Amino acid sequence: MKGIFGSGTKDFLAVRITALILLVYCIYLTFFVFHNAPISFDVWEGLFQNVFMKIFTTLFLLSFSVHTWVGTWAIGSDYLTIARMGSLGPIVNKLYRTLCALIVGCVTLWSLIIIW
Amino acid sequence: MNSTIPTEELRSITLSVYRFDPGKDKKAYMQDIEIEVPVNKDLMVLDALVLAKKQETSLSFRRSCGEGVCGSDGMNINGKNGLACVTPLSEAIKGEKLVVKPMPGLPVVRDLIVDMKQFFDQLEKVKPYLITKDEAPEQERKQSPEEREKLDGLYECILCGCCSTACPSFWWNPDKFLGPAALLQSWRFIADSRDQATEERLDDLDDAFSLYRCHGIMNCVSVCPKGLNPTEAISNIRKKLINRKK
Repeated sequence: MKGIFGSGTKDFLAVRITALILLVYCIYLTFFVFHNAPISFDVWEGLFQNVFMKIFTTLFLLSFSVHTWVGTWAIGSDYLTIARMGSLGPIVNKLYRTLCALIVGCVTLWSLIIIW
Repeated sequence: MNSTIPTEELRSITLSVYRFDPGKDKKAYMQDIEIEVPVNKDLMVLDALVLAKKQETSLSFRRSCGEGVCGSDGMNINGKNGLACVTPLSEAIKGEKLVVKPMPGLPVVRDLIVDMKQFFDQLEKVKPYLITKDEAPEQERKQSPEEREKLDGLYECILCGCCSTACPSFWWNPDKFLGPAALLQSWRFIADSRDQATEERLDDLDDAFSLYRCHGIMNCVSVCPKGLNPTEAISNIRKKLINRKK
């Protein structure tokens, strides 16, 4: 199994790089909230009207999708297998992957629509 | 009748041993065996098993050198994998009871004996031998002392299987994830200045399971009876893969 992006190294780097982006975004947002406390609706709306923040949030959402997709695939291939669940394994895994795709896809798309 | 060894003062301990004979038992079970051990002298877990075997002659376990070199008597001792022959009873025992089970994750052949096929199949995949492309020199392939030093902490592995069978990633995917022992051997040859198949070795490891299923849990490091560090070896292979231009 070559992995989601064609090799183990690419998958590994994808998860680590996207994790870094998620971390930087969370730190930035936390810093913003504490710096502008008590935060009002206008301040919050102003933040997300900013083009930089829109691009940054888009990057966050794409990173979230990639990170979650690779991560949940790895979890499924550890636990939802023939070895652990018998012949039910592949079916449960397919259902789980479909559910993950739906959740990740909907959350990302919906968020992008809200942001832009 | 309890078995004893000649000594002045003895105390009784309970050995709770995993028993399973596929020819007889439908299910595995734990059997308590009372043995008497010297009060003022420390025994190894293997000695305790030998004493237990005097009472329960059908009790089966592997053993050979008895001094941590052959790697035959890897087993799960009070929840932690280790070699019975180099694990002192005083360190392993909790209270007056010692629980001994086969190494987890591998099929049990009988009692404490596991089928190591899956473990050795994975080892075979990393080609644990020197691969050279140049013509063989008249004498040996030479190494500088510095190059030789890079193999310290790698060549000492005795393939007892304690690390791989303590690794959850190996339990989950024993056919796909190579496991810490095989990966330590892989790095042992990648790091060897005489080996000329680094690229091929790295290509073989660059999938989603063989190497990258290691999540850095480090059970392998915690249980290795030789004090080796497979997690570091895995991390070194990973760095090599990330830094190569491919």
